[in-house]
Amino acid sequence: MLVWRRVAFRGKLRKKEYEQLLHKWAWELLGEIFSEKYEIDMTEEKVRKNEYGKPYLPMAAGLHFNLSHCEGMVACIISEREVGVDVEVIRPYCRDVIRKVCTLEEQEALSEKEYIEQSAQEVQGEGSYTAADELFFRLWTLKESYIKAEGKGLSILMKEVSFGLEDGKWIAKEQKDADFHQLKIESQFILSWCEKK
Amino acid sequence: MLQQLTNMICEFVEVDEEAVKEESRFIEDLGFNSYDLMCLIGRIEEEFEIEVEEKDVVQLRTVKEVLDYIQRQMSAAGC
Repeated sequence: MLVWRRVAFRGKLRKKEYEQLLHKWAWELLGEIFSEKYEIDMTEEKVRKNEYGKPYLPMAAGLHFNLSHCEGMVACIISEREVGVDVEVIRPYCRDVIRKVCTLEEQEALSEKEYIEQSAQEVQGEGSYTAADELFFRLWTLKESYIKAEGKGLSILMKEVSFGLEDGKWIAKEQKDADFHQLKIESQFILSWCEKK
Repeated sequence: MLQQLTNMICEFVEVDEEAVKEESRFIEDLGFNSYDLMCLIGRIEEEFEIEVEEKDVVQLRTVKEVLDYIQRQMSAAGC
């Protein structure tokens, strides 16, 4: 079960303070879902972490969960399968990060989008971001969702979670052991989740 | 080098310079998320002209660990 909730933007709060609030809101949402849908009284104190820091709930045997948050949104997912979720607000992305996380094929797709936009001298995306920004966060959240489902932290390299374009859709190239899903919400957010088979 | 790195960190997470200490942990103490961290690594590569192996990123948890890493890579490259 996947649930997301819009929350306040950061405003004048410092990043660390806002991150702490997002963390709290995400856990509150998860607690509500466990209580309402599974009748499990979950609090953060009852949560344990695996050796890589992925949280789990010993009292909810057979159920896996994961949380994510970004500016303006928190999300959580509960499933009988290993799951990972990642949400990001679409914004101009940091160019220096591409070579660290994207495969050559993904980098070429991003360059192509940027080239088209520069040639056309128009922004193809919506509002304050470009089509390349949107593509980057589509790829980033897919990769993160897989890494989070695996639950082994950054010991899995982001470049190794690779995607290729098939019939207009980004399909996992190597990670055939998982199902990927993605939503664009309110033209501002990209939410991806991954369930291991 | 610490000052240079501190400036970059402050840019990413908008903390006061005084909050950045060698023992500061990026995620727990400075409010980094995984995206911020990967961006910082990319910037470090540009700024210090070194390469940070993706597999090493998981071991870079504190400011000191990053400083030591940069120094090692720069020495290895004969800088």
